[in-house]
Amino acid sequence: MNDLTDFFRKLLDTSDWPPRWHCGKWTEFHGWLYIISDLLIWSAYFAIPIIIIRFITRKKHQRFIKLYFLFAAFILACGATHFMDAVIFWFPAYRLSALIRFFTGIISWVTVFYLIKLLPYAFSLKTAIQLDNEIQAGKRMEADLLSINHKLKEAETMGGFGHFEWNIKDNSLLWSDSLRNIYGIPDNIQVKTYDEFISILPPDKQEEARLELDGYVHRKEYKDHYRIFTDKNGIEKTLFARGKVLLDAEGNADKVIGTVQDLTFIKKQQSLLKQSQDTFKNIFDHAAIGMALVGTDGKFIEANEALCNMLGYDKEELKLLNFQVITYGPDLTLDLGYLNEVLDGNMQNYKMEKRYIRKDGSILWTILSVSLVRNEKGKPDFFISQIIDITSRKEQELELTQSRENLDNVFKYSPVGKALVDISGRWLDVNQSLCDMFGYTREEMLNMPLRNMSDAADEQQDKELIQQLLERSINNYRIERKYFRKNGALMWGLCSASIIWNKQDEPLFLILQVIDITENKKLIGQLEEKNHALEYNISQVNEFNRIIGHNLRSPAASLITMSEFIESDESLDNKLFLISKVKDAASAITGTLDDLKEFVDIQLNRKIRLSKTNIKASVQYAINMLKPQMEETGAEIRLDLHVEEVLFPKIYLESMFYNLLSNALKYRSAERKPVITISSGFRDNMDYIIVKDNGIGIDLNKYKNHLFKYKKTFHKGYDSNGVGLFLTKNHLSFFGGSISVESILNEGSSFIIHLKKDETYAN
Amino acid sequence: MQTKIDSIGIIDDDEVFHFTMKIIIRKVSGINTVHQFYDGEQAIEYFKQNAENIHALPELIFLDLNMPYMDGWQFLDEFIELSIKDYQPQVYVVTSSNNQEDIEKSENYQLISGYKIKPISKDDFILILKEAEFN
Repeated sequence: MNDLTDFFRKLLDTSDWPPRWHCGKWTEFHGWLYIISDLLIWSAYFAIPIIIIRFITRKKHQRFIKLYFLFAAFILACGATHFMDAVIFWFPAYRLSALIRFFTGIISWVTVFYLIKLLPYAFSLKTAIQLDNEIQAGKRMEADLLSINHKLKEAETMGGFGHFEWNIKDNSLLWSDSLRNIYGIPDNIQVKTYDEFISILPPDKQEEARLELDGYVHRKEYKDHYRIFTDKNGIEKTLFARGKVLLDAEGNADKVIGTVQDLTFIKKQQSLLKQSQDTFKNIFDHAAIGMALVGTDGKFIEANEALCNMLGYDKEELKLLNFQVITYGPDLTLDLGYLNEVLDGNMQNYKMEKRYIRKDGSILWTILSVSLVRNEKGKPDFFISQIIDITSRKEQELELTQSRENLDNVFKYSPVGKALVDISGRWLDVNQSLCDMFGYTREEMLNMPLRNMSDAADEQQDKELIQQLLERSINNYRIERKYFRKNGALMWGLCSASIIWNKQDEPLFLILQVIDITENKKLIGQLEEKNHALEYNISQVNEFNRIIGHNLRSPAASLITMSEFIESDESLDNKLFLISKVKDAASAITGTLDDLKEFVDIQLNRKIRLSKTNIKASVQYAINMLKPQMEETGAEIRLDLHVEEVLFPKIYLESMFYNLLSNALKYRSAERKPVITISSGFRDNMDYIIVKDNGIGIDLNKYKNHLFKYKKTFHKGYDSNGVGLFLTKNHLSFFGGSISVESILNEGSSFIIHLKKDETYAN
Repeated sequence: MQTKIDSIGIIDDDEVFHFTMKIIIRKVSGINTVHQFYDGEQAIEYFKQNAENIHALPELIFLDLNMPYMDGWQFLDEFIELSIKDYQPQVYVVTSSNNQEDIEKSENYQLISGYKIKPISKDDFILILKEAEFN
């Protein structure tokens, strides 16, 4: 113990030992090498801890902080021992040196133990490269994470969903940005707790939401649900929340996590879909055309009323049928063919004219159009058929076709000549009858211009009529026309023409119908002749009756009266007067009978035949007969003959001139010399002779109707018997001629005689 | 109403008819005046001249149809044309014609009271007169 106390008492006492310089044999060099090395070690050992300490103090949060201090102390201590070794050369405080070494030893061992303890950890420490790698990997991961987060955010935005995490323990709430967007939460409002979430809900929905959420926690089960939420902008949103309740180790509800999806758009789509489905159904049900949904097997899934009406089945009956059953047999193959093409995807849809069989067995003509509806997988689902009833149109078409055929047949086989002619007059088609009529073959006919076959005189009229047709001032015309047959013979045709117009109101062609009326014409001519003869005869009979009634009965009646009076008790004077009149009456009867005989002779025409007679010769005959009167009156006869001969019996013509000239002389004017002009000519298919005088004239107002009647006289004081003109007129009439008169009182009269040029109408 | 016929006009070209009628008239009627015309022209001239003096005009007229210059029909037409005021004589067509043509034509004239076919006997005349007076 004394040593120990002595040690510490004499710690800095150097008296017990000489300085090192004096202990042993130190050369100067050896000693200073020793001293300087120790000092270098000391200074270095003291510098290191300063650096360490500075490092530690500069960089916070360093690990192994104790170790650093231990190292610092250890190095400092080592440094101190080396310093003491250098000092001992001059100051031999061995006790202090020993103490410093002791402390150094203690610190060294403490450090050793600490190191041993840290060793496993130190081994686990990464090398700098490893650390660097790890740092790089970490950075990459970080970047990946960021990108994933970003993508998630984008996905959430695009998908219209967001996610949340509700920590039940502390009621904290984690919302993704996207979720905030969905709820339309402004940036200045935070939703970081359960209560904050509830508060953003509409007040009337808050309690409900609370119960719901608590229910999940309680039941430890999240129930997916829809939430209708009206955001701050008043936009109503349909949200769909899906989630999960997470449990902790003890099995209690820990967190609720989940996603919320904005289904507003989809809902809207769905409602639009519903709407369009409703619209479709509405259209389907009430369409005017027949519509049906038909399965791929042909069964009717649905049919509208229009279709039911068309087919005569009710809806339920129809649903028991397939379209094949009610398709008109011959149309089925085509329909099925199309259907298969559509099913095979070669066609999208098809349209065809198709016949169905109605419930009552009748045929329904339709236009069917079919399109296929495919399901989501692209597989054929059902057909939509649209059916338009065209039965009445078809029937009309059929009728039209038939009537067209009929028309064709009418054209072909008609006994009436028919032709289609273009507007310029070229044949387009001619039927057999027309060819036969003209005597041409069909080919000859088609190549023969119409004008070569018709009378040039009719051309102008034709043009005018066609123009009128084209102007629509007439719809058709009908005229009698002259045509020429192949053999040159004249053919009379009754031609009727009308124009066929197209839909654009342009003239297509003329329909020409020609009936050969040559024979009719001939017959009509004969009939007219007969009629004429008959009329003539009737008028002659009437004339005969008139003569008997007046001119024969009158003197006869007088005779009866006279005889009665003569037989009565009349005075002798009266009787004698009457007797003197008997002869007159009797001769009147005889005279009339003679005239009648001549009149009847004309009608019976015993001997007289038509012949060519020279006018001049006949006039000369009359002049000779009237020689005394001619000389007495100094009359002048002028001839102006453009026709020399006429077709009239000689004796009649002579008699005519005699009567006319004697009248002209008889009724001459006292004021002037008689001048009688006889002219002749040809006009309107007839020869004419005019005998014109400058006599006193006839009052035609009074006598026009009586001029040529039997025993009509018009001038008092003249010796005339009214027989001459009567007979002349009858002569002329019998041979188809006529006589008329024009006269001006006190100027003169003209007798105009017309005579037939040929024998056509001669009796 | 019966009126006494006092004057008669005979228009006829037949001299014998005039003669015999005058005898009958004198014998069987009280007719004082007989106007005699031998054709229509003569007659119409007379009516024209006396259009203002209807007392000079006959109350009864016998009219022949077939006459020269102006026949019965022409006379009727001209007479109607004259339209003499307040003068409405009884006109009888007295003719030898029994032609239907003439009978039918006469029916078209309102003016004509009757159509008589010659010969006319005394008894015929009495009947005509009675008829005329009664009309």
